[in-house]
Amino acid sequence: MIKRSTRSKSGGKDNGNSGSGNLSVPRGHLETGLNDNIDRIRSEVAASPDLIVRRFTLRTGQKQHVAAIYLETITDKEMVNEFVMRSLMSPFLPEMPPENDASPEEAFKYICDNALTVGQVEVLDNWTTMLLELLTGKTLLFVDGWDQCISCSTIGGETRAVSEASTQVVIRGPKDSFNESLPTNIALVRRRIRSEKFGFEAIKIGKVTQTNVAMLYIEGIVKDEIKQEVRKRLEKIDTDAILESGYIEEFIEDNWSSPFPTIYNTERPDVIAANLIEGRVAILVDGTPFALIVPTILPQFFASAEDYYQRYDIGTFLRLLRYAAFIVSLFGPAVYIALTSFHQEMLPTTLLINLSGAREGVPFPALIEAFLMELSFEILREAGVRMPRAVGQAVSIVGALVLGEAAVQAGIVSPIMVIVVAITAIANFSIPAYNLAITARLLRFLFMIAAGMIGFYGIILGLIMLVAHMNALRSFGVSFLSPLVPFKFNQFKDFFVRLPHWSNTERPDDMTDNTTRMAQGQKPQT
Amino acid sequence: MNASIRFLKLTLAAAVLIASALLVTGCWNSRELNMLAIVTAMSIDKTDNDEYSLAFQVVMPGELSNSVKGGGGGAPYSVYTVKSKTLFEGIRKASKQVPRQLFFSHIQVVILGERLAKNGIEEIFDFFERSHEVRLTSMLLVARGTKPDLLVSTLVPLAPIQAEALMGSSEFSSRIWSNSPNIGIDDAIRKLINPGVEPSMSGLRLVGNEEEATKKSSLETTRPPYHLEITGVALFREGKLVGWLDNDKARGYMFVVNKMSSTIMNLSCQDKPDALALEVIKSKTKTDVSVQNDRAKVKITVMAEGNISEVKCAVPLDDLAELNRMEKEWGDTAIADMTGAIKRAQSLHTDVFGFGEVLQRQHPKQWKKVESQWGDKFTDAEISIAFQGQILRTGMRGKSLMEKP
Repeated sequence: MIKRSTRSKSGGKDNGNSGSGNLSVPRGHLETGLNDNIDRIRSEVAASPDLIVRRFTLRTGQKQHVAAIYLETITDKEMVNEFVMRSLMSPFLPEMPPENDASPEEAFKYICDNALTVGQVEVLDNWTTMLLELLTGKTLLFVDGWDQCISCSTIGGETRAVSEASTQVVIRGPKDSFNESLPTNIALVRRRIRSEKFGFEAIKIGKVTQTNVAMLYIEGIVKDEIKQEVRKRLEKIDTDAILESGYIEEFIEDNWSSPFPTIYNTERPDVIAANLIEGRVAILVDGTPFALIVPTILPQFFASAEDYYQRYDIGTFLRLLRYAAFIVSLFGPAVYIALTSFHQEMLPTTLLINLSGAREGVPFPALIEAFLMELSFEILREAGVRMPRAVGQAVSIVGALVLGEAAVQAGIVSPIMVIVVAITAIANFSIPAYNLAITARLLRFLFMIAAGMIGFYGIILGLIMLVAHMNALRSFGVSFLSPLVPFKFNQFKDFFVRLPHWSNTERPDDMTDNTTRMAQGQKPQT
Repeated sequence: MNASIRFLKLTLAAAVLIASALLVTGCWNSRELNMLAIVTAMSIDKTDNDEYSLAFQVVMPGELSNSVKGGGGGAPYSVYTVKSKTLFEGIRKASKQVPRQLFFSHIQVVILGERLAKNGIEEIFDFFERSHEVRLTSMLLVARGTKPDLLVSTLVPLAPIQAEALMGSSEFSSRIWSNSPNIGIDDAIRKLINPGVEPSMSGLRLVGNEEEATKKSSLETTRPPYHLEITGVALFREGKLVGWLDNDKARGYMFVVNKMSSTIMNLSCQDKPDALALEVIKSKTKTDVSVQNDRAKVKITVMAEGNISEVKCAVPLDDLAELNRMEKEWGDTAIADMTGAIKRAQSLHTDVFGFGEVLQRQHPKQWKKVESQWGDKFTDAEISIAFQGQILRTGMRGKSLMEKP
């Protein structure tokens, strides 16, 4: 099977930095002489002791000189030996054309058509592509006297095994997750959607890294405008490196200045599959397990894959809980500040006296106190994430002692503040999407300042601004607050609540015109 | 280019405006918890030279909260007293003594002195409605026989905050004893304004040794030498205290105003007086008022349910005739209570039951005619009371222990 790879980055808009290893610069045609080619490859590729050049002659009595060139670090050596070298040197090769002195062209054709037992073989004739294939881990075969080469797919090298998701853990549901290899990831999705309509486009982004990026969708469900918009935005990216999908996210998102993520990311193939079926487009990036999903709406961040696998009633309950947790993690300390320094009359008397007793002797105003505690918790959390696992325990002990007991004992903060910080933190952890959770972490400080200045009035002002801002957000043409704005009641079946699968018969019409999900009336008969 | 500069200017101006709005509101209302002196109760009385004598009960959060180490030892609250011509003056004047800002939003109880009550309470309520700091749901009590500032200073067991204790005993006793109404400031104000009803509130009395009431050491004994007691219904006419209803009459009052929730009534049993305790568990009163032939007619219907809770004689409780007799006696007692209460109020010319209000609701036209002379109309109103009591249960035991087979 000979496959043509799609390349969007032809060297058209290059600005001449070919010296910095830019593979999108045209470098002309391959040489004819075998030695010329080998010498040029050696000179073009920077110091690379792993560049292997194996010269040999075809066995069938001729004097055709052939060379196999590959980078041993990223090729599957097994494959090179077994399916390239061995088949070319095998004594059982099928008959060569009878003429003893076959031309280089004939020899080349012969190798290409008869001698290689590799699945994917490609004929290349220009330097840029050829180098790119070499750097991808393919084995190149040159025949002396012919200005083309054969690239055999022998990509190898170490990849991490498919393992359990580390960020979006479920109790019930598929346990596999993406790894850093794009083909593996696509395989994981394809295995879930056995439809001829499932397709993907491959794009290379990053002038130096030449990262493979795949855009997955299901033809017939996805709206063409969205597909084209995604492709357009991906093709517009002109950068040197894409090391993670986060790079791409920042290039293609609708509103860079918003604290809210407008692109969902996941490492779960089942989530990708579910979203593709709703008409979304997934963007998979080689080298990272995190795939992007566009367009994104706010409710996605509150849904966990498990909502759909467990019974719908518990799914609904957990979802409502997560919305509540988001609100708590956003407003928790702000409400505490507002209550204790502005609206003391709103508290029950006994609680007020308890709070007042707890704050007796605390030298700082509530705002400063809250800031101190929140900041130290953020530091603790950051330390906990970055610390080597072996020292992690030390952090938790120090954190618990210093933040909990000692600070209260020393009279720097009140014990109630510790509770508020703890509840806020726990609420924050229960938001399933990490990128929304960090949004809440940041906005929390703004709300604390607003509450510290003008109490609930400030919180409400901030809330109004926040809602107005969220309402203005779009993700690839879809309103971020959909289905709340624009109001679409039939999509509420999978929003705050998750109704049973048989009742949710329609796909949301934001991403697709093909809204029929299933036949009506599949409610189980009792 | 020009357009973009103008846009930038506009945005900047808007930003400055919004920012300055934040500054203007500033922290004008911000007060830290540890800068507040939380007032939980307050007493108001009159002095000889027509001044107010105010007392504020300020809690000491450090003494009350168990989260503060080294707390305890001191009194849970202290009382500041001040004399002034107006209430607000007194409140501000008190800041000379109190090291923190007095915070009135949590006043639970306002105790009015008897002297003030007799002079008229109308003038004090203006402050309570006008001020945004005070809440109108605070409970009103009238000091009975004791100076109100002493009542505010009295330490009570079981509740570190005395105001909460007063609230608690008032609420509980009105729920299971129903001998005193629970009147908030808002309620009193409404009744003061409305010509068809006069305010009434519960009394508070200190029984026992007054000297010991403010010492913490009295709480260290199992039998404090004094106690606070909510007792009686104070009757007001045109804002002035004119008399009290006590015991049976207070119970009758509760029946008439439909605030009876549960109480115990003693009935006779086989010729032994007060040998049977009946617990009223449910009572509903319906009042109809009309004016006929220039005379007010008040028809009161009470539907009540009760349990027999205690029997000191050998009465056969499975005998329906016996139960009927009890129900009858119960009705007679209750009607006597109610009649007593109404008679007393009529003799004082004060419609604390709100019959005028009922007339106003039921027959607005008739009310218009008698509104100006309602006091007299109430005084010679014709009262008829119907009581339908029903004994539902006789407790966990059927026969009386004394009933020999």
